[in-house]
Amino acid sequence: MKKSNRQDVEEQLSRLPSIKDHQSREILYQAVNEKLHRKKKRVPSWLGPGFAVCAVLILLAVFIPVFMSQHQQLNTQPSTQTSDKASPSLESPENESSTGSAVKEGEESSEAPDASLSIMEDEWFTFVYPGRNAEVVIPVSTHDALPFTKEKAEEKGLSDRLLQNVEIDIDEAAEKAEVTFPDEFDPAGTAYVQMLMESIRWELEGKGVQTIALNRPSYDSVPMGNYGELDSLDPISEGEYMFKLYQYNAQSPTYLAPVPTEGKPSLEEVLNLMKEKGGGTYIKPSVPDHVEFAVDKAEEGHVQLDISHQEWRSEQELILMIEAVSATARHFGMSRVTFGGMGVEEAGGYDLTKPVDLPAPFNVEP
Amino acid sequence: MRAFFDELYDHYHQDLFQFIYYMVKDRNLAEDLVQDVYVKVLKSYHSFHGKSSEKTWLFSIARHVTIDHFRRQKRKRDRVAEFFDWGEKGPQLPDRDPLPEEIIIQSEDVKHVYRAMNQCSVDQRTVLILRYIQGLSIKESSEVTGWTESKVKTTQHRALKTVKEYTDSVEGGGGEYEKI
Repeated sequence: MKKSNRQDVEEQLSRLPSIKDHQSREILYQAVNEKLHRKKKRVPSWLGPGFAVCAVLILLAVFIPVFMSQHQQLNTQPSTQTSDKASPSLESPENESSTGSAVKEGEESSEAPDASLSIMEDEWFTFVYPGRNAEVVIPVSTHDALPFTKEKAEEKGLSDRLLQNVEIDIDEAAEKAEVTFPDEFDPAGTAYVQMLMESIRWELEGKGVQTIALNRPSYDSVPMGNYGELDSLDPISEGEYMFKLYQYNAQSPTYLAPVPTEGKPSLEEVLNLMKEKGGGTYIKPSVPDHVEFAVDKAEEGHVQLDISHQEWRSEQELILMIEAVSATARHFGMSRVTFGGMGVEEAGGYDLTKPVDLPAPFNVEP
Repeated sequence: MRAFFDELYDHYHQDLFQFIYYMVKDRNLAEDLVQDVYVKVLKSYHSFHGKSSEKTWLFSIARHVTIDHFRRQKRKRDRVAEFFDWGEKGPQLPDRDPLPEEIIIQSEDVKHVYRAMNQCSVDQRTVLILRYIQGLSIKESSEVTGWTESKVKTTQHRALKTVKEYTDSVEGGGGEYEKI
């Protein structure tokens, strides 16, 4: 089989013949002149806005009643917030008037249904930032199509995003992503390279990518420090990670951090591993040590957990655990979780008496 | 106005027509679109500040006119697709139409490359035409497209890869395939 190289292709392209226009200069000029002086049929200037206003009024008349009835139902939907700011919205309305902070928590709680609605309906952009000690990467989802600036990332206790000068092109049909680095790219340091590779893999997670190809404009591979020249990366696979908590300092938000699992543990094993220390300097267990998980049943994307525990130390502890378990269960291919034996019916907008639908984005920044 | 038109025609007409032709691969359509380019140029010459060369400025207008055409075509196709529940498709190029006479007389390799351009995205095709048919530099191509030079290089790299994959598959007996 004859294979061409890049030079052959370039040479063949430059041999493509010139294509001449057959229309004469005069005919072209007349056509241009005619188009240039052609008057556009004008419509009254008020017609467009008037029509738009009518359309909006009709849509509002139809959708407001529907939305109001859905709004009632959505009060039982979970919030997907995971940061510190999320915890107030997880407070139940009964506690609203107890303390000053609880009032604030209650206020945010009343906003929870809208947040759930937007998570279901809106487009989310996920950008990945290394943690401060370059041990884990933190995917953060926002409605903003632009990543955090370096300053904002630092404010959040994160490091600057590493993929600033990298172009990522996703071919949805081929389920393939092509990641192009600058020609002169030559990274130093194993930690940096590892964070870079993890950043790429997590930014492409959930995008239906089966192949991640690496290249540079003039080369089909990319130097990756001790890993040598790489031309591809494996996409994130199911069950490869569990979620623990990352927090740089007391002032910065808490995020869910994917921490690699070892071997091929089951979901039940992983949930119990989430109460162990380890994973990085700023990583904490996401499950309190008094909690034990047993998987009652896991089928058709629905896992039923039987949870035994002692007294919950705080609502915050409970909610962060629910968030981490939800993210981990989703990463194991689940779409619903029943939290059995929790001893509470509701936490942070999660109705724990019913199966909880797992939202796709986590670490959501409003 | 006539004098200005004549000046543009003398200096750039064949290049502009050729750029548009290779973008849309339809002679009648290219004739129509090149007229639109002149209309835009004659209407907006006062906005040319000389930051880029006249040639790259004209190519950038030709590029926009062509992209506008593809968008209109896509909107029209989407409306039809919505009605008949057809799937999404990229810009339509007449891949199965007869080759133009200028290409027919070329070698098989060149014919393959001509057809391979249909496998490229609009951006990739733009860069291939600017770089290899019009002979523009990376810098000039970046002025035409408004991209960084790095993006031009990247797009060129991907375009060459796409063309190579197609020509390899055809020459290897894999048969022609259509992505459009």
